[in-house]
Amino acid sequence: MMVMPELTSTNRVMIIPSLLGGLAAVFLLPGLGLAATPTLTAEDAAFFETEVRPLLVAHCSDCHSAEAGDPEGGLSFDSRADFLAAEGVAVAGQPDESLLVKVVRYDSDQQMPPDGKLPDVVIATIEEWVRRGLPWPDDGKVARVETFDLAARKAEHWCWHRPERCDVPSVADTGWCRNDIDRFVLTRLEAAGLEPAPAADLAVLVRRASEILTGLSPEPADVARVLADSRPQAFERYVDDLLASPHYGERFARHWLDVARYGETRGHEFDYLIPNAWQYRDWVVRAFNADLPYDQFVREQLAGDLVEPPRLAASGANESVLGTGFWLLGEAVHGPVDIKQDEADRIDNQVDTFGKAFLGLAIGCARCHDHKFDAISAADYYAIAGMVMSSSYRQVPFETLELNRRVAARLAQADAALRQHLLPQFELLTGVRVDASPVGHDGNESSTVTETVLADYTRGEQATGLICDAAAWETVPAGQPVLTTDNATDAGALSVEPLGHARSDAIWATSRSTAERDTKPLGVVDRAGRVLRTPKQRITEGVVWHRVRGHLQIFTVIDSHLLFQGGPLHGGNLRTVDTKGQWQWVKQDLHKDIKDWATGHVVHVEYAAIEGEASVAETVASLEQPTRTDPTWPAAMNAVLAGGTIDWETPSAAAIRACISEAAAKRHAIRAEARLVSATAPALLDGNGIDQYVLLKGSAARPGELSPRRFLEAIDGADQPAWPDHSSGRLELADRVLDPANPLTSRVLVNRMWHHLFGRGLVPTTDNFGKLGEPPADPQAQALLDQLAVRFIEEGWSIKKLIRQIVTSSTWRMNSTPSLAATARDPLNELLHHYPVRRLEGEAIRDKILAVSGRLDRTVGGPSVEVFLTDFHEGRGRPKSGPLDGNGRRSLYTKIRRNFLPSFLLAFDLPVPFQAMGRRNVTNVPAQALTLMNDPFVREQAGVWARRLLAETSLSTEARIDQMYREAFTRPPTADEQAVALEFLASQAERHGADFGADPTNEAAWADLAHALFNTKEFIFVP
Amino acid sequence: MPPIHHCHRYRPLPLSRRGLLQQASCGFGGIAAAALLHRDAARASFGVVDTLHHPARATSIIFLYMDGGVSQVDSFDPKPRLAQDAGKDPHSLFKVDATQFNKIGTVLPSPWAFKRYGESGIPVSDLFPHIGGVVDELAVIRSMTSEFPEHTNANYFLHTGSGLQGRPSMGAWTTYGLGTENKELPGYMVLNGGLIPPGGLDNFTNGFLPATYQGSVVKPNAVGLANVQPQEQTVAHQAAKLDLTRRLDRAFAQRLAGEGSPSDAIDSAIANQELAYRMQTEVPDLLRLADESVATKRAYGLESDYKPTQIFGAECLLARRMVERGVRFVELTCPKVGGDRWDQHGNLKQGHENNARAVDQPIAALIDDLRQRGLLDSTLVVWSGEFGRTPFAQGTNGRDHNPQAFSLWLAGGGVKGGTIVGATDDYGYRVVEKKFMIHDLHATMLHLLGIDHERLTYRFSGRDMRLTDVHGHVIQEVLNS
Repeated sequence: MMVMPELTSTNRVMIIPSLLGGLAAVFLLPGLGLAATPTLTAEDAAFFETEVRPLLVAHCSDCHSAEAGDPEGGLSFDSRADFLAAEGVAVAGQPDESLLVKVVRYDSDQQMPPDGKLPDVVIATIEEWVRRGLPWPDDGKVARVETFDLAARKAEHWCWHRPERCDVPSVADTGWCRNDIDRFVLTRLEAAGLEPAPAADLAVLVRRASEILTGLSPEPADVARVLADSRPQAFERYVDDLLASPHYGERFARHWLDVARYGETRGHEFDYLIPNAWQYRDWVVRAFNADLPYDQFVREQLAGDLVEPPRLAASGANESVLGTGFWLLGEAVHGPVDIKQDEADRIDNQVDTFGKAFLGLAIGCARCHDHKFDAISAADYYAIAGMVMSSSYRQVPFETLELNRRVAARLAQADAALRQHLLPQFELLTGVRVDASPVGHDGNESSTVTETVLADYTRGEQATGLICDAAAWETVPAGQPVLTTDNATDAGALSVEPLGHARSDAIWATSRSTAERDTKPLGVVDRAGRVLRTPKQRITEGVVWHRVRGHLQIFTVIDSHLLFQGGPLHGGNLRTVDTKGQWQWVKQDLHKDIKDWATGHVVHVEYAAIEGEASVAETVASLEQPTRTDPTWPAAMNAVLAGGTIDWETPSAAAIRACISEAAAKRHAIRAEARLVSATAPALLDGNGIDQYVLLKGSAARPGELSPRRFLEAIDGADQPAWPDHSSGRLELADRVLDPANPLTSRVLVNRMWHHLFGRGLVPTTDNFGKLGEPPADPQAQALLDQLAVRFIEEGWSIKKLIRQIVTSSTWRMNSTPSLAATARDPLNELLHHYPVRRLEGEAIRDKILAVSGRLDRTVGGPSVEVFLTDFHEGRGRPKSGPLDGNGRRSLYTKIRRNFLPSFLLAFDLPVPFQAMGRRNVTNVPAQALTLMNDPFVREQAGVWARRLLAETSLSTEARIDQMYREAFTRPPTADEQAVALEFLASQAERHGADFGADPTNEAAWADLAHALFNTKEFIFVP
Repeated sequence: MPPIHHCHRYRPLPLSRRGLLQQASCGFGGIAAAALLHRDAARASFGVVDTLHHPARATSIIFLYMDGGVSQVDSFDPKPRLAQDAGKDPHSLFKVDATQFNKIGTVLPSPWAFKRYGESGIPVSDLFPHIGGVVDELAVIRSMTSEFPEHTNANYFLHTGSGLQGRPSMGAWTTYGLGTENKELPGYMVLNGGLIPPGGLDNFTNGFLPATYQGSVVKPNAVGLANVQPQEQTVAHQAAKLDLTRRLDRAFAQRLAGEGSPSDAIDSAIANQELAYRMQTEVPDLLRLADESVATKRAYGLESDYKPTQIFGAECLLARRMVERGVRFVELTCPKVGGDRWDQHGNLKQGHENNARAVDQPIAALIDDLRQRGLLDSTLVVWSGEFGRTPFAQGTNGRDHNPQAFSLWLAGGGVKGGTIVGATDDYGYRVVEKKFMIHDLHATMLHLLGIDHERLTYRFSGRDMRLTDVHGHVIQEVLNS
């Protein structure tokens, strides 16, 4: 039914085939013909040109165009001649008799356009056109089909061209310039006839640097130390201190979390947890604090599960894998009825976030069609979607991952050694020959039913590769000597495995995670570290057979949907079986869950041992139980071994017994080295690579051609080598993103930092460098951006070096008072003639309140603190409220529940985490003032601050006021402010019924003063 | 020069008055035009639409959200055929789509009789006798569809035009476009009757629009708005604090400006604090029902012996008070009635009856009251759930979700009362005539406010975003010519 256009690589034509292929027959019916070419009056010609032609292009030609490929139903609106070629479409002069009119009126079995009825005025135009006799100049084309010329788009937009280091501009006032940044900025100002604002006072700079770099105000003692430092470069040294502070990482991590649309729940109806999402958050904090080179920072987020060797923490924990949590922070629903569309929507969020975060590109816009403005095709979009689709989710036991991998490898080695040693001896002893050639199977020989083999672990060397969430599974061939117990010496119990399989040693079923688990029912089993995953395949059968042995959980994942509480899938895809030690085919019929198996669903299976040893031989999709011919020699060998005919007292038999015993002891010793308790984190698990179809108009119901996995054509060209089938290709993707030839990655990051440090990026639209973004204001701005980007790579992708370079420039040190002339010339400060005064973000305001009051707990990292819920937080999935003061932790550590976002932060523009948001809104709304005035948290902290000051009994009233100003504003009060504060304390104490003269420690009055200071603009605006 | 697009397609952030003046290409003309949109320009705050795209028929909207999905065949779309085919397997009668719960029972006739009301004779089921009394004001659309059979997606879709989380709600779009007529109150208020819809507060979010436009959730009969209640012992205690703050702020602003230009950001924040201070009295004033007459309260059901009717009655009365005070967009959510929201997967009769009892009288009273006060002409009232329900049973006595067809109605400003638009098949399962989408509803709502839905855009994420995305046609049939 689907009619696919030819897609050429660069000059692509947008066509959307219609679903209603049935129309073809109707339109081709002979009979009611088109009248002879009517005489065309000037009026009719104008009517066609102004009314009809545009609507045909807008509403019909997407599908009905010969130029664009096979026209749907053979009907093409490309030209009058094409239109006439399809008979029976319209009767000139008789709208009511014309099929064309009926279908657009939706009065027919066919309804066009299929995705929604046209407005009545448009229908009326079509009727009028038919009534007038279908006037149409015989002049060739109507369907000026929109062409997608990738090469042209690439050539004409700046962002696709590599940044080059250019000459640093010359300036008149060289004395002002501390580094190259200043020359770029000053040359613009001089050209505009403006002067840079004077340098800010050092005390102001200290506050600015501390609040911008760490999100916390400087301690008064630090301020005093810097101000007293008479050596050169006092400010530079202070900046170094700040960059070395762990609070720097916290601050910049929060910036990155905006980009990563960080959330700890999945939103929607019940707001289920994303278990342990905070591990990703802490990974980001550590990365910034360690100044992890940005290329590695990117690589680990894209493919940290695949980098070799992984980066290890001092504890031996795998750090790299934690980065892949990036992909898994989006929203998800628990009960999609259309599971494929749901997957497409989820992957869309992942592709979109990827594109914006690392490349500053709105790749997501190419989901439904080639990008309307940028050099990004729909094929590009689906090439990347395929990589996401090929990967799956796991909770990774990252603390023990590397150690247990080594343990598992040694166990496998020991097993292989035992097999190689013993099997020849068993042959001698039993007289049964080992036939090492794998016994394959060619499908159900006895049946006409087709089957799809998802995994076959029986075939020794050719067995399906193991994909494990940790390292629990090992491939075991037929003939593997069985150690029935670790101390098995009872020769009579000797046997060999009858069947090759994947096996999980019993020890792994005792592993435990110390953290949040997946939602039930999946999370009933402590799965982390126990999972074996089959490759993914598209299947149409809807029934999956598992040949397994042991006690295990079988989770068949359909279209990558994670099961929360059962539905939509009615739970048929999750089974628990215990085969009591016997091999068994377990049937899983998924028709109750999904009806449309004929259209194909991508499926993989996850097995997790529940108890004891677990084994999987094969995973097969088939409507009937697969029949298999198993190898006969292991059974024959076992028959002799158990048959009582062997004299176990001979020296050779005794040696075998000793060997078994020794192997068991060795295994025991290796197993003892495993660590079975670990924290876990959301991470990707890589498997085979599968390609995704281009979904027409983004609809999962309308697959077009497969789009092989690859990187953007605009950057890497059309002829890219095929990407691997044995993996998703994310590691290759990371290489392409980080290739020095990629014009975007370094620019985008450098611009993000500029945005954070100046409040506005050189490219103001930090997440979109494409045509619809705002470009750099002028050539010098772009030259500066490029200079920084080139240097950033040259200096090893060091973000700290980049920040230091910017912050120590004269540009960054300007004061925040614009001259009248500068305001008149450049009111938006695009030329940077002064440092823009900025309101702190909600997190920084709340953190500052805690720091000033003395309540701040400076612990770095750890599980999130539940959000404090007010009466206004309602809805399904409402958690228990957290403490009003969030345990004094920084705002970064408040749990981000999508449906219960912290109201304090929300009032101050915390972004709703649904997609990359590198540039927050900065609004000015009454809710902010109301929060500072009346929120119980703010009031409480004012009291905490007052009590702390009063507890220092040696302080005079004046000294207390002085200290409050230094803590809140990084400066002492003026004489006038001292007087005003004193006056306030006295009068406010009186309102509280106290006499301040007699008791200058009236807590209520001091708390009110503290509260008033919290409400000042100076408290929340960084000068 | 400011970038030109600020004046043409969108403004990224709400501008202060000075900011507006500085943007010379808009200049005073823009403000003057904007002022014409408002009855009392001094009290108004401005939206992005400088000049209405066409004359407005309404200036405010009350959205009556029927959380959970009212059954169309039990409310405004009578289907006698259901009685004829009662008990039959629906698969034998028509193609049945996948449903969420997949417990497809037999064809289930409506437990309620329908009566024709008013001059228009529009049939209304016995669930809504009071609404029947005002039926000549209603334009009933029987051919609405949704794209999602699950609550959350469908709720987001109904509220934001997208099934995904985090997009701006229709109330946010409306206030973004038109501002509000009373800047001392939020322009978009949500009266929370007790049921926050699945999907949570994100149904009322500003999404990527500035926070100014987020829905303020208000509780009837309570403090109302978060943090609007001063915590100090007396007004004087708070006033003294704010006096001090004011004084320090002025000094700070002066120090910062020096010989140069004052900071717009600081000045705006100072002004904002004054506004917040006034809201502390304005909001409680709004919520005070004591000054309503006994007759009014009785009409709205505030004296009902059914508690949910009292709650929804108070919501409806508050909605009228909000509209009177110039709030642009008011949404009402349903009260808890013990069982479920309008989501009767089982026990249809009891569940729908309880929900109807809670809302029927208050809604009729609201329409009556608006009409008597001359407000109905300028207020668009919309009644809708997120989807409909199946004509066959779920289990034996419930109905599952049905996005293929449902009924909603509009009344008030610019709406042709006494109209029925569209039709479903014999079972009320699918639309057979004049199929509309949620986008069409949104386009129509904006149209009645004087906005062309295709021209209300906000550039985000590389696109000029719209409430109606790339869809939407005004439903001409409900417009009063």
